[in-house]
Amino acid sequence: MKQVNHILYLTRLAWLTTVLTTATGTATTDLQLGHFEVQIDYALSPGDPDAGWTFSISYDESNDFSTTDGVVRLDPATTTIVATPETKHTLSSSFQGLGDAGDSLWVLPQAHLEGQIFFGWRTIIPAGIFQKSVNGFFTPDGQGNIIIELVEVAGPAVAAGAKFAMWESKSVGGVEMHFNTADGIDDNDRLEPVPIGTHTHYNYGLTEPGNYEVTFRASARLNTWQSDGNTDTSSTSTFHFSVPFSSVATGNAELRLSLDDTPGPASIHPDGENVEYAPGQVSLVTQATEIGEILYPYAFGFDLVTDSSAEPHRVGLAGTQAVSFPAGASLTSSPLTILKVSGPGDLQIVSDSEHRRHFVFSAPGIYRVQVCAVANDAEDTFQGPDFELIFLAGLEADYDFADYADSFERSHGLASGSLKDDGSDYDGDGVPDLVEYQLFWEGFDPAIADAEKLPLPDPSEPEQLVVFHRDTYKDQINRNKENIVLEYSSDLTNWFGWSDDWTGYPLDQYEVSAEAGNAYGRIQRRALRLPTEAPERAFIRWRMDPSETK
Amino acid sequence: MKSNKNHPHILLGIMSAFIAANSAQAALWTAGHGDLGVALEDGTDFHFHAHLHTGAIVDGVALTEDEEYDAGDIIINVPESLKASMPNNTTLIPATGAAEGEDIWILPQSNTVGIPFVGIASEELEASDWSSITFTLGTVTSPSGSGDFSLWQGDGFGGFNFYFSTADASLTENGNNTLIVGAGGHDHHNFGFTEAGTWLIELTASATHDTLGLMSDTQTFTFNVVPEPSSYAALAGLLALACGITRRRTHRA
Repeated sequence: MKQVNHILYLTRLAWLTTVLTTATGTATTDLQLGHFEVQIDYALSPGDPDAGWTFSISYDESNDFSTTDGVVRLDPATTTIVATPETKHTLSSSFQGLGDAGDSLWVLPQAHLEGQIFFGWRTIIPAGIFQKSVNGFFTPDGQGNIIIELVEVAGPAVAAGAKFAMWESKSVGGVEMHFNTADGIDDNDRLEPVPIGTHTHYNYGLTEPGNYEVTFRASARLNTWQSDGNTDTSSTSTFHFSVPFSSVATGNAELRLSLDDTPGPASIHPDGENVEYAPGQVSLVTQATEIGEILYPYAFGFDLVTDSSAEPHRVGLAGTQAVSFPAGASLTSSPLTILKVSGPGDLQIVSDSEHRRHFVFSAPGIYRVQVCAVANDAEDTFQGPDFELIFLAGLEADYDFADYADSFERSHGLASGSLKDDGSDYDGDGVPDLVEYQLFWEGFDPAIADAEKLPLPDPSEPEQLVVFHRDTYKDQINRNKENIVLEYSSDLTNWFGWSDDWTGYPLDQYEVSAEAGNAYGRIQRRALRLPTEAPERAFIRWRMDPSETK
Repeated sequence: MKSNKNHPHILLGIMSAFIAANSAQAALWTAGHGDLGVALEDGTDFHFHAHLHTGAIVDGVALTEDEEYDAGDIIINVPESLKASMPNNTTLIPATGAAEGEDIWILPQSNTVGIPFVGIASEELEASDWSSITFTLGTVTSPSGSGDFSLWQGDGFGGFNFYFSTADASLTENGNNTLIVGAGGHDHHNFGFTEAGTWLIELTASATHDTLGLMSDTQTFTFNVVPEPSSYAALAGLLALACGITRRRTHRA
């Protein structure tokens, strides 16, 4: 049974301008939790039957999934279905061409499970418009049905070999594959007949991180007594799915450097992956590395790059402009200046014979390292903008609070046990240690009073209240780990946030992506969307929900 | 095989007669979507009931709006077409209680035209006010007294997650015949019955409200598992169980 002893703190008054209250029916939205559908509607459209189709992603505020009451439709073009950490499975054996034992498969499940989206299908089409079809053969009918086909699966994940599938779990075991790109797309990638008023659910499988553009076609034949009688009609629509990248580079990576902030001062490109990350959204995990016959237990090697091209997936980096030096500029022989190191040990940079720069740490723990590139051109030597790299020495990205406390206690010479996850606030800045742990990517240090780092309303984000980073290793947006919930209230009594317990509705108060780039990582930039009728002033607070399985 | 072909029509006639005989008592839900769910009514009444959606077929007629029924006022029909022969599956057999080759009627998780699509729901609860909802299996009365009832979902990879099993509770996900769901949701499962006849399934819904504390409601839902045609005579007596129950309906605005 769930404990109701949430940690509540930091009520703040936020001024909201009227600009903040605007929301449109097609505002950019991502869906990670909650019950949604691929919605297909058809209305008679004499003379242009193909114009009668409407595809959307819908939800139902009335919870009546049989009628149009309470149905809210989102534009598929501006809506992305995102796989949560809970959807990641490691296959125990080969499965339907989607992977072999040991491979990862992200499954958006047919069942409504904790910490995962429940993404179904729904049709709302009046009876008698369409004929009945069986295996592509039509007969006039008082009810009728439609046919749904998978037309294309594209996008950068697919270009790199990712597969997409949709299937049904059968009552007595086994699965029935409806769509599967593992064997290409052909006549078998077809649902027929799809009733005109139906609501049902399937499993979706995605084999790699990255972005998928999935195009479905709906088709039917008009009944003989309708206008345009006996005409075949169809329409297609593309839906966006995304599987977050790990937000981790292990052992080594390319460090791509720029001399200005567009699209960023640097990016991290893990070898062999089709993604690059802004430095503030990736953990650099050290490995034991032998350099010049010396074994360093905590080392991370960089290949410094000044002339990259943009990766197809970018986390935290806007647009398609490459992170690279301008023509004529090049790195100096001391290409990086270390501006600041925060962590429990020392840092030295060791070069190897391949000119790889290894960041070598003397002790395990969490390190923040501020650096900048040093460049010269024909006339001058100058520095690029500062940026901060996050290293995990002897830790993995899913380190827990005890690891975090240990690292910061050693960094500051504190007694073991000084930092606590019970709501205590060691540095007395009003932000409890546990919240500083969850909001690590805002730059918090639990032993330094730094409440100014708490995310506040950002006037540059016109539709969003507060932008922050959620680390989905620490908060897996399920109920098995603690959750950090950003909440809003206009009266200090009724609070609204977004979590697996209660997601709210996308066009009301809702948490959505605020990613600068085109792709997702496990470190996500998020924002709380306000209700459409938001008042001029409101309160916000952060709430920590305990794990329900503790 | 003309006689076989006509069977469905004959059976429909017999069923209609039973329905007519019981129309003042429990209603018979034969097709369409509805949920066994909980709501907080009148501010304090934690009420576990059946909520049928528009278009569901009750007593042979499609509902024109949503209707709610107390557990005792609705009989959920499990038609003969849902009878399957238990495959050789080492997970299904012990959890459903049906041996290989034995009959099992499965009201399926997937939406199928012409049969009840039964969900288990908490969507009438304001999710932000509630803990997760626990549905606990209570007393199950099978037609013979020795039948088994079970509830499960596919796990997405061809296997199963069981939540209720009268045959062996230890095989259920939580080990104790419980189904725990978040407030504000609904989902569908496979309902398995190992014999034909009238089943009484007692379920308790419980949850903790932010201010009202722990709330719980225990109800017994009736499932009518339709047998082979030769067994119809026995059904008349079983359906009579439902007499004397007052029907409760509430209409949605």
